Amino acid sequence: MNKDWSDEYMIKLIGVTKVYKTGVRALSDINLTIEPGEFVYVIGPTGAGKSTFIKLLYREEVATSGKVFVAGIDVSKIKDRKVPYFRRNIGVVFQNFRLLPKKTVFENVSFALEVTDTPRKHIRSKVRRTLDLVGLADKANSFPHQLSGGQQQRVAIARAIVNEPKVLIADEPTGNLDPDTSTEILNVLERVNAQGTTVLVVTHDKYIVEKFKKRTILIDNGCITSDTSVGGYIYD
Amino acid sequence: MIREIFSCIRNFPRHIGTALKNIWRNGVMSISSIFAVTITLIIIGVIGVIAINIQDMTMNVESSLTIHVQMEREATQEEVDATYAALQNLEHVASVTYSDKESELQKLIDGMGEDGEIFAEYQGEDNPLGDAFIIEAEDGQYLETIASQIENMERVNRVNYGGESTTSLVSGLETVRNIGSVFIIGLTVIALFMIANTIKITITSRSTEISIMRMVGASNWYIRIPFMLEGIMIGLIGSIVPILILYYGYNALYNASDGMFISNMLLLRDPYPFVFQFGAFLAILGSSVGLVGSFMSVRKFLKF
Repeated sequence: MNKDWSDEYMIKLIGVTKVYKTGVRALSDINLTIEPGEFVYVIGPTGAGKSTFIKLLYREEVATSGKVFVAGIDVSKIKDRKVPYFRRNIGVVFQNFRLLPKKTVFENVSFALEVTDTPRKHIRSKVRRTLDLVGLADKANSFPHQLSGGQQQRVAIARAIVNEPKVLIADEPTGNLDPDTSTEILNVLERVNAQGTTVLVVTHDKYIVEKFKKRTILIDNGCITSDTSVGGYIYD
Repeated sequence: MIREIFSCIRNFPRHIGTALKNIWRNGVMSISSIFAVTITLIIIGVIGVIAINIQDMTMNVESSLTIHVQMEREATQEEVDATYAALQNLEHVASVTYSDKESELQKLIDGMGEDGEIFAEYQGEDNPLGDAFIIEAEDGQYLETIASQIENMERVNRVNYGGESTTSLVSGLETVRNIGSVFIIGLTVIALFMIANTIKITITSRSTEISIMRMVGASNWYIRIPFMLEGIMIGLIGSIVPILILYYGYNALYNASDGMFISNMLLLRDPYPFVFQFGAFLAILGSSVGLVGSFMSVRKFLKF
């Protein structure tokens, strides 16, 4: 893989345009730099291109033109076969948690380590440490359906970060949760961020953007229309 | 690449466990694909046994088909030699064997059994027979053309071969065998799609799990191998009953018919080692159909 790893950026987009096969132009000429250890919100109306933006980052989609660098790797140059190894640099959390219902909390988290060939002797301690970080050490043997939504999302975060990725992408992590629980999730994300992980939160949730002020990028109609390090919900 | 291979080997016991668990969890679906394999392999087995035996019979009949060329009694040694050379130069002739008039008469006597004794007095000077040639053709289908060419040669008294009835028997057997082969290929393809479909259903029900595995960076082979093992196992389990039917069925058939079909010219193949070879073939066919089927259906979920 590419070795031109730089301390200056964790994510860098240069003139990125994405046009889908259907002709839909999702992103136009996006330029953006996110530094290591940053905590960034990506906001914008539905259909503005937020989802496309993060899909480019974990290479679910490939940019039509322009360059995408994540953790020093030129994403557009990754061969299909190598994508799984690239993904180990990135943790992803979704709105609907995506936990395996028949596995316990511990198994859901250790699953991420097993499938990436982590030596067995390290798995147990890594999972314990991560569950501690998200505050679920006492729920290790519970099944997802026995947990609240907020707890399930914390399991999902644990699974995303247990591999110690450089970047954590959260796609509407509080979309299904009430304000108190959202606060709880944001606290966890801040803790993850405090450990040095770059955190990217895609959200609609005005409440959390107002409450936890961070750098906020507004995507509208496929363009970055505002990028501020002051924070605040800017587009209405 | 090397890393992936090592990872596969290291995780192999786990993959087998996953595959077995999946077969168990998808109970009804697994049973239906096993059943599909079983039915198909039984049909393939029956047709295959018939086709192989017909193949044997055809070869047996064909190899026993020879042209018997009888020279005129008055033919001189030079003329016989010339005919010998001419016969060897004919197209599609595999071999020409010379048989002089004494051995021809001896054959006649032997062939007649006890009644043959009366011909014994013709031995020597009074031998009414001429020299003869026994010709083997490269293939049964050339018998007629060769025979008609020889009939026009000088000093040839009579040309004898099985005639049209034998040739039509041979071509009839060949037709049956060819139709059988087409059936086997067709059925294999059908079995392939049935297994592919079943596994596709079980995969679709596990698409969340696959998407999570891909999300956290599991390599494609890590995801694929359990499904492929599942396909192989379904194929192997599905081939058990067909192999048992083959083993007991063919033995029973062989014993009941004394190894013959209609006449002793049409012999059945010996059960051993045939049933073991054919059983192994069915097991390999079943498992490879399962392997290919699962490979085909998991591929869609692993595209980027």
